[in-house]
Amino acid sequence: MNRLKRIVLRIWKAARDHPIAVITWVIILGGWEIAAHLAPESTIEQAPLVPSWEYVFTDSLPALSGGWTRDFWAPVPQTGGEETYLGAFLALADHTQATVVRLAVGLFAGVTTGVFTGLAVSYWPWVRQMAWAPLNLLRMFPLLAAIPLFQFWLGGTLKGTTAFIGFGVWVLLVVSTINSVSNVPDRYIENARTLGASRFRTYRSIVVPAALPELRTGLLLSAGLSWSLAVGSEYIGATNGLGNILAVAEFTTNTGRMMIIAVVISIAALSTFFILNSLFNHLVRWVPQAPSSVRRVAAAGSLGGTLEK
Amino acid sequence: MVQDIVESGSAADVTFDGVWCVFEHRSGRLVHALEEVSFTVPAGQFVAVVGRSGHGKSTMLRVLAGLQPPTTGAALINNVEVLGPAAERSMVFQQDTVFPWMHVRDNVEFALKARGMAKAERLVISDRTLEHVGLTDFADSWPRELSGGMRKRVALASVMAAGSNVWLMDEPFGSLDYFTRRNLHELLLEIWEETHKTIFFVTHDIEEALILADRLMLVREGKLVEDMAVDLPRPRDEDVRASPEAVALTKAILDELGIEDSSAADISEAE
Repeated sequence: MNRLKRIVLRIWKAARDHPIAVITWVIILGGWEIAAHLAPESTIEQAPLVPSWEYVFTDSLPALSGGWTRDFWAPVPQTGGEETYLGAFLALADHTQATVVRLAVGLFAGVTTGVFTGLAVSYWPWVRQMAWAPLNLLRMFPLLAAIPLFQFWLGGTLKGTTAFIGFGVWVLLVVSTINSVSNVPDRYIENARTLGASRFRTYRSIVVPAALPELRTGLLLSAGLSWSLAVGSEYIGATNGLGNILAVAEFTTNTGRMMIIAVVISIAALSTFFILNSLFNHLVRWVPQAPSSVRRVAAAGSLGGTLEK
Repeated sequence: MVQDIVESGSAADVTFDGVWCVFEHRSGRLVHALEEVSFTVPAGQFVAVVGRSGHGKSTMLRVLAGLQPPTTGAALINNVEVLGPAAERSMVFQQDTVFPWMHVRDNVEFALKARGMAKAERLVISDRTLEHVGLTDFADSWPRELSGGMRKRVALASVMAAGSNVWLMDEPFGSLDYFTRRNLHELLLEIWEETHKTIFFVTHDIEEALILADRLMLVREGKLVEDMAVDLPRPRDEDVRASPEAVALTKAILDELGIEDSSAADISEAE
């Protein structure tokens, strides 16, 4: 009881400290519920255009347990078992894990090969000349249009989906790395050269670390992109994963399920973003820390307040 | 003690032999950054290069550093032509060039690592150098944790540890406050008096040039318009800098650079 009280108190305190955030969420959730009641009735049974929260939690969520196929922990609806919330959460976790594995392998491969390609292109003029035209062509290529090609070449397997994710991330990181390297201030390079460093040492010890901070944008963009690519490739050709159950939800026209899966994908993508961001922050811990814009505005506000008094 | 730190050899003679540096502006106009500049500086001299901004002081230093090839003519160190950057001619830049991703000690050891020196040997040199510039307690700090003056000390320590024979200093203390600058002047003079490296110090601050140098080169519109000795006694404290000789020198510099200075003229007349 005490524990529950503590949780309620903590939520209340958070809400009191961030009233604007609370109001925003109330507007979004309340607005959705109102839209659910105002939306015209769908011609397809069991498929409201805008599902109400009650429909999402009492109908769509337990129905997701249909995706749980292992004969332990929760009943398996496909073999006559009942639909349960536990089964739904287990099914969601199972499919999320499948997508995360594909994403992690593809993202890691794409980031490492992308950064290395970008560094090689920047270092060797002949590689730059060779790669310039194909790279510019690839960065303009619509990635989703390449899904069928990858499915055809490598199948809807782990290999096919990770290769596709890796390819998309690779293109982004190559371009991002080339830009970061070209923006390294000359003064660091000149200082290293006058201290006797060779061209290779200057590149390895000066250009690469100096380019890192600017690589942040490309890396964080790749986190979001990799989720789109993972879900996109699973949507079309995989037999499991969040993209696959999204395709099933669309097939059964269950908008509530689509919504739940979309929320799970958003949370997972946000988590990827935060993990990459904190790993990157550690890597560039030497960069002078600027106060965040929010804090700056707050400081300016408090200064204004003091002056007015 | 400093001699122990800067283990590689002595200072070096520096010669500029008819150096021209001509750049083409985007408009197609030719800009003469240096015109027929010639001089010889014997080893161990402290030279200040003084002039207005954009008149070729930094280009002179960049040619010496090997960062800017001359259009015609040559820069020579001990009669060997400068063909590119090398650790024998290290530079302290106007901007902050301390590598922010390396700890202070790694910055100081950078040139030694580039030379392939063993870790134990590097440690001995960096310890002594850091002690000399007063940064022993900050060896493991990030540059972002230091003040501007301390970062300039790191830059000085890097050049010291590199064992360069010629030190090229391009308005290194220009961005610092008066008191920090004075402290760094003292430190630099202390190092120079012990090592007698050849130092080229670019500045547009005449007082700074008079405190530090024993020879002044005045640069105007890319030409070396005057090359004069500074025979003021050392240390050059406020009394020395206020002496009639120093005032007369200041006035001569201002005249050469085409700048009227009424205060210097007034003091001179009053004397």
